[in-house]
Amino acid sequence: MPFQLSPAEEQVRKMTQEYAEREIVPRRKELQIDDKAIWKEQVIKQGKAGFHLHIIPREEGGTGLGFVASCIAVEELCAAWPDLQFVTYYEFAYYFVKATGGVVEEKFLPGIVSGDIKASAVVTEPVGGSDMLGLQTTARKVDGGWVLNGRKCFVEEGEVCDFIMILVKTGDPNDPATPGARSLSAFIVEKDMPGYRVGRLEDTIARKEDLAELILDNVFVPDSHVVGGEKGIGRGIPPVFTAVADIGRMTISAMLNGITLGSYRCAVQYAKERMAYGKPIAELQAIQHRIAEMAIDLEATRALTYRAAWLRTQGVRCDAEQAIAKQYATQAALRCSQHVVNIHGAFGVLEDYMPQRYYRHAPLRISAGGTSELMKNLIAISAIQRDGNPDLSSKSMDEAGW
Amino acid sequence: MKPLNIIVCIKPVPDSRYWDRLSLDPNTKVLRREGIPIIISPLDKNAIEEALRIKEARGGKVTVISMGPANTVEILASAFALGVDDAVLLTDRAFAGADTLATAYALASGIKKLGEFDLILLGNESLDGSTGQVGPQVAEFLDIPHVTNVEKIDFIDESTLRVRTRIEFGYMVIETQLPVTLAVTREINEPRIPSVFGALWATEKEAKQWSADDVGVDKDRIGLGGSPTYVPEVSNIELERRGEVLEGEPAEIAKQLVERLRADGVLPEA
Repeated sequence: MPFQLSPAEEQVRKMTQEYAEREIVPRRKELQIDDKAIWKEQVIKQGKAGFHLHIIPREEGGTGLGFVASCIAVEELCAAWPDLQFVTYYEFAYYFVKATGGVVEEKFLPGIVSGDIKASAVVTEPVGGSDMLGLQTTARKVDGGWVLNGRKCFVEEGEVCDFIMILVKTGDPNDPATPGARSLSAFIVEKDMPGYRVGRLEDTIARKEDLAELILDNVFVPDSHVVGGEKGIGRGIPPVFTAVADIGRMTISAMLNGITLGSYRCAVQYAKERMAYGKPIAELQAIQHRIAEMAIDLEATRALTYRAAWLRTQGVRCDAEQAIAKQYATQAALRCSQHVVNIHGAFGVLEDYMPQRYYRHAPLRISAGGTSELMKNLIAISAIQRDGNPDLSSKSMDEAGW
Repeated sequence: MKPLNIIVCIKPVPDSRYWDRLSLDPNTKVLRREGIPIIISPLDKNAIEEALRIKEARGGKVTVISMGPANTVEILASAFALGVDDAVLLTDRAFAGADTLATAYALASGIKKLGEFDLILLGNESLDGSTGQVGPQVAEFLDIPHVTNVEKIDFIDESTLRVRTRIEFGYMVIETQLPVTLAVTREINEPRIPSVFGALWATEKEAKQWSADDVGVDKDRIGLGGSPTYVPEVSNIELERRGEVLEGEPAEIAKQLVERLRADGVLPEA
């Protein structure tokens, strides 16, 4: 089994490192104090830089390098600053227009390829996210389209997205005509549609005004904006699941791996420079063991993330592998960001040093893209109901089976 | 305006992030570079950037040329990633151990083999050797004019350039005709960050590799044998910190400190 990145993927890492070293690292102090200006600047620059083009085929104007390259780019950006990456939203936009087709694709695809148009997947409501049948946002059929009403929350970069893909109720799950999941449909809502607005921006432990509330007050959405076209009504879950798994979970895993990578680099450098008892602390076994544990986590989390990304690039459905990657990446980032704080001693919690930054950001991803419990549910479904992949074939747990 | 054939000479140098691993070989008196990643010498990157900008403004072709061991193709891949059209590596054991004169002779020979050219660009000096000699020497071998310390290049017509060169306490503006060799400083531009497509160019384009025989050089003028420079001695400079405690009232200490700093030339004379 060739455990190696392709030369092009290695180049992607080198080039993204260079981007991060020039664009992000010198501005860490500014990011620490007030990140608003850099946020506005980077959302544009990263789009123009085109990191999202790796998941877009060459014939459509992308690099066609695939999901591993995308994960590498996100990982390097987030090693520089744990959540200063917008690749996810440009990739989302691409997925959504491909799932919708028609005028939506015609209108947005050129802007997505040129790095101007970004989007977000919007599912979660104040009442919850994983319990999709409990969603309360509704769409009512009218002539030529649908009228949407409701409130969604915790949308990352929701305030800067040009459009969203939103999951809403178009029926009653208890009605035999629209049973269960058939009561849900996905729509494309553009930011300038009347009645759509950004509500409250929530502060998190990592960032001020980090997560957006989105309000839909009698928003008219034309039939052309139903995801999946005419047959999309009652079939909202597959496109949302696919986008959340392929883009959401893969880039979240990569973001977390960026935290693990950044923590690791930071720890090794500090351990070699910091003197105690007349020698660098890297010579102390207690420090060495922490660094060894970080190295194990980094190796393992990358292997899991890249394999899921590789499977997806081959066109293999791999819900379980993506969930495994996300689950492990979360735990690894939580552990490693704590190791780096420990190794730095009191410096670890100073705002001018990076460890506290990694440590504060890691928990943000615990529930993003689905909680650890939901990840385990998904993994268990593939393991038990679909017989998993006990022989580690080139297929995924979903597709291999016993 | 006529499209230009631009050649950029680039040098592989040890990545400055790993300089703590560099050491001097006391016998051969050269740097031990094994295991240290190489990068394009930073000012050569400014030269590539300037070449690409000129090409983007008036069309043409940018070819990079370098000399070094086989792993130098890594920096040629980096040059492809930035968007250059073609790359040549002069690689042969016979080229090894060259000083600036032998290097410039080899590069000039490679450039001649490439055929017609309009403009040669390179960094004013390298990150590791910092002699600043190769640019002028290449120009002399090719019998064309050269300008060093170039911080601005403007075309005033098809083949006339106005270049600004940094001198002590100011700058000089020089007009020159193509073909010319220009050695550039970091002030000339801000090198671009490669586009994501650079990852494709870097891996799909291939550099030409030429041996001494391919280039047809006089073997007595290349490598260690062709290098008149002789390094009699090299030594590591050991730096040590020395602590000194000034005593007295705070105002008195401050006064003493200023005097000491003046005496050491850190602060100007009163």
